Amino acid sequence: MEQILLKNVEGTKLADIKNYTAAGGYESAKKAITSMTIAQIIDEVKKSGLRGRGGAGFPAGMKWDFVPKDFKGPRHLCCNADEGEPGTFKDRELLEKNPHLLIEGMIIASYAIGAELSFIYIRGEFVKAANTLEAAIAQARKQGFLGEKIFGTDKKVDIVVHRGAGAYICGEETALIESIEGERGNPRVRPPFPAVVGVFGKPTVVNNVETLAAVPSIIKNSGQWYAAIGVPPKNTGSKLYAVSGHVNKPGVYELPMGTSLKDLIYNYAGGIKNDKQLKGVIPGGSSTPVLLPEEIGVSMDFDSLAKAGSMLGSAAVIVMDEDVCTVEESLRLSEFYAHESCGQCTPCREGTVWMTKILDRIEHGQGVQGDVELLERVSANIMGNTLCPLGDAAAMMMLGFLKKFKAEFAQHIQMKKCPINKK
Amino acid sequence: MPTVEIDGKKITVGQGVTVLEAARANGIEIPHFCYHESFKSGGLCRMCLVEIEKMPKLQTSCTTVATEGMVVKTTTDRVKQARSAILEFILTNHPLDCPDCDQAGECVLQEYSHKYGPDKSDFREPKQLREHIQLSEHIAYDPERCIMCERCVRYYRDIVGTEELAVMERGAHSEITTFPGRQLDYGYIGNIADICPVGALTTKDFRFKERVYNLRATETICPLCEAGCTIYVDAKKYTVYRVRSRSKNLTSIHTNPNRNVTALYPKVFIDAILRSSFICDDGRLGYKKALENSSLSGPVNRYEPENSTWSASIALVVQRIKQAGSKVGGILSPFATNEEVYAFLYLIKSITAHNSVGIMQFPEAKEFRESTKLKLRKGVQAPNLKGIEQIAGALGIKIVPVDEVIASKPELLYVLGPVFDRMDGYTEKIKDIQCIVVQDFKASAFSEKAHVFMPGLSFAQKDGTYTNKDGQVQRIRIVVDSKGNAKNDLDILTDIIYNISGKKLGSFDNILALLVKEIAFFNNIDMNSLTTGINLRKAAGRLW
Ligand SMILES: Cc1cc2nc3c(=O)[nH]c(=O)nc-3n(C[C@H](O)[C@H](O)[C@H](O)COP(=O)(O)O)c2cc1C
Ligand code: SF4
Ligand code: SF4
Ligand code: SF4
Ligand code: FES
Repeated sequence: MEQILLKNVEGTKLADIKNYTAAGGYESAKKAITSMTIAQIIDEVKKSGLRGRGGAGFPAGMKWDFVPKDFKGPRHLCCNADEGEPGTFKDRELLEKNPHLLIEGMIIASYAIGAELSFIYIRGEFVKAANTLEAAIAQARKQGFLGEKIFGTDKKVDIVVHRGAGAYICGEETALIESIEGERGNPRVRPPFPAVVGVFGKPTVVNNVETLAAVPSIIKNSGQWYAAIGVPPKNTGSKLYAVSGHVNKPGVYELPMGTSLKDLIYNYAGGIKNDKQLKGVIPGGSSTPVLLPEEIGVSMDFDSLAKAGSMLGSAAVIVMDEDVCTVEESLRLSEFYAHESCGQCTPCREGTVWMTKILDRIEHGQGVQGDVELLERVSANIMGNTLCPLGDAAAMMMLGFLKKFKAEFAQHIQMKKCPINKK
Repeated sequence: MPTVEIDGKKITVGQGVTVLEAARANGIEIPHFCYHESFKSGGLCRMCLVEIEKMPKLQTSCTTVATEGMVVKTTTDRVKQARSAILEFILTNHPLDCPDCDQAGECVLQEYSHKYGPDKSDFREPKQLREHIQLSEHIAYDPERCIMCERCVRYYRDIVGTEELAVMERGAHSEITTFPGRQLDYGYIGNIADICPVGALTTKDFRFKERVYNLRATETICPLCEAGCTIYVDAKKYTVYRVRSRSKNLTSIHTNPNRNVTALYPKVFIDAILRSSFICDDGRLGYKKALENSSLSGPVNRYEPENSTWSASIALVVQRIKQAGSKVGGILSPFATNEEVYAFLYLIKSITAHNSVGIMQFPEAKEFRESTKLKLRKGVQAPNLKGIEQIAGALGIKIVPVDEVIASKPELLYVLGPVFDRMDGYTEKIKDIQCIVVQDFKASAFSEKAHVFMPGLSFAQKDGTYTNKDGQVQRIRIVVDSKGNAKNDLDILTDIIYNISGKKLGSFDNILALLVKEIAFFNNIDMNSLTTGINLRKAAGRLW
């Protein structure tokens, strides 16, 4: 497959608009703005089968279509560039190396939903990416691709970069909206959904960086073309896989949707470091349930991973070798969720801390009989009972580890120490 | 109007009503912490989860609007399990210091733990310890007990409108606090102690004074301004311990912005709702002034001090009034109840054939700050000016300033208190008056000059009605018994009237019935409502 998102990013300085346009950049935006109707654009995106790359895999065309057609007044597009899930570093690659592709995608998406003012909500720590983006936006504005009367038409689209302040929860779309509004980044109750009541009370579409970056190629080549890549009809296009952990070549790989996990680890990422044995893989970011070595034949797409009892999530593959202690690993992740919980709702606020405390005890030789069952019970009590999916994410992670590595947890409790840790 | 089914019961509700409210209005209890009828639901505590057909997950009933055909179940095992789980989570870091928590006995968490909670917890980790945070000199905030329902935060956002409280920190470290270096401004602070479902916010005034289950709550009216807010007064034997709003009593309507109540109901009505939900800090903390009964030793007869019994004093007053005839001057305190006012004016008009009465001036009840959206205070700092105006008007008696009464050089001046310091300025001007009669629940600089002083009762020791600035007639009740040798003010007046003219005005109930018949406005009031507090429905003149 020819790369769509990361084509030429090494070697060509695509962040410079000259190089980007020389390679045919902004032609899709021009085509969409000057020659296509909104309905045609949405139709093309629907045909492409493009599903959201932010985690939930919601069909992008359908989301755009939810914006009430009869709403009078402004609407907004928000690009979610908060990328904070442990293991996930795919959007950063695009933001730093191919910002114009995102901007071009946003111009098309903004036009399709009737937004004249759009936002990129970027993780605060991504200083370089934010500066790159702001420079790129200034270039695009100068060329007449952004601002008033874009591409010589009477249409208007502009983009504002909004930097986050270091909270993972602001990646959750309604918390992101609150944060853009200048409020504390707490998730909102749904309904109403952002498509109806979003930023400043206006209809809003929130899309991931990678989702929006895929749009120009769809407009350029047709939805049908895009839909032929990957595992049609429901898992189409190219996908960025961020591989980290104990592999020889960690990094971001753009491959067709549905590449096998085994291929990804052993072929693209060069196999396990130091020829160690594989112990487990988290396939889609920290909240997705862990897989065992015998399960890595799975195709890395939304539906196959769901069938395998996990999730594609943000497609952040975390590879763990035989030396990893899964109690310690789940403790780290649990600590992360407890630290990042906004604290609004009871099960997540209290449950993640409780989980962490139990795991901490087990890992440090103070586990007692019944702790495994307790962890299961606590996770189950969080699951499905929270205001936003962060609580579910923590519970899902925990239940995943318990299901696959129960014996190791039990061993910790029995031996009253960590059987693995060396130091 | 949609019809929903809750636990098998078909319920028709208004547009936009939530499942929780629909259930509540129909006697089905759905436990909840963060929901409060006065502000927008947050869906935060997750205590109100219910099962709704066709929805895979449990839903928060406080945020789910009831729609046609919805089938809700609140008693399934899944719902019970979820409730028990939420309570177990809350209690993991809750200090469980009920033995020295002021909320014990009226704590929602305590109540729900008994009803819906697990009977044990597997939480064996040390609990999180927290430092107290100073929000105001009037309120104690204990973050360990806080369950983060954010009612207090939303109260300051949606009701007071000043956003003085906010959540700081994140996750389990979250706490409620003010802007760094600032404290809550005086005016409407105390309400957060009422709306806090647990003992995280308590008033310093009441802190550690008495267990709430030893107290008796009486519905009455705040006498400290003409708004006439509805209050509970909590007391034991002779002592009042606390004044609080009746917010928890108001179940069927609220000012939820979703519901756009303002468009539906007249302003008076909205005011009435707010007045029933919240009170001001003067009303909450200033009650002592209107309570302390310092005249317990009986009447004072300065003509014959050794003859200071009730019967001698009343006989003396009767004789003096007869003597003075039309040369009797009357001065009324706007703290007097409608019934006392009627009796007093009856005395003035029918017996002394006078047609004017002096009214004591009380300071205006100003708002504490311009910036608050909540503005409860009305008129003057006394409860019943409107009542006096209405009754005097109906009886054809003119209301005049106190000075005018004194300037008319009466032979006998009858002052019906409470006087407080309102007559202090007249102690010199009344020197020439032969007989000064003062009736008051406590002595004042002015009452020192009285020839006959008859101790009456405070607003918390008697029955009666007040008419607030909006013209609503509201009931005050006996909160505490009177001790010592004071006498009900109305009885003193009716005794005197009977002894002069043989006319029996009767008790509080008889006079109230008379007022209902004789005074036009009273006809709008449902007599039954006066025994149960205000009747908003009738007062607003419409059904809802
Ligand atoms: C706790 C939490 C964190 C999230 N963080 C991100 C993020 O960093 N980036 C992102 O694109 N989506 C994130 N999401 C998902 C968003 O809520 C949202 O579904 C997504 O941005 C929609 O874009 P898409 O339809 O293009 O996938 C997060 C969700 C949760 C619950
Ligand atoms: S699930 Fe966690 S992060 Fe989400 S709203 Fe609740 S407390 Fe906040
Ligand atoms: S202080 Fe009370 S009202 Fe405020 S959030 Fe805590 S528990 Fe709720
Ligand atoms: S506003 Fe007036 S009536 Fe209401 S509590 Fe305050 S002083 Fe009392
Ligand atoms: S009462 Fe519904 S979530 Fe708190």
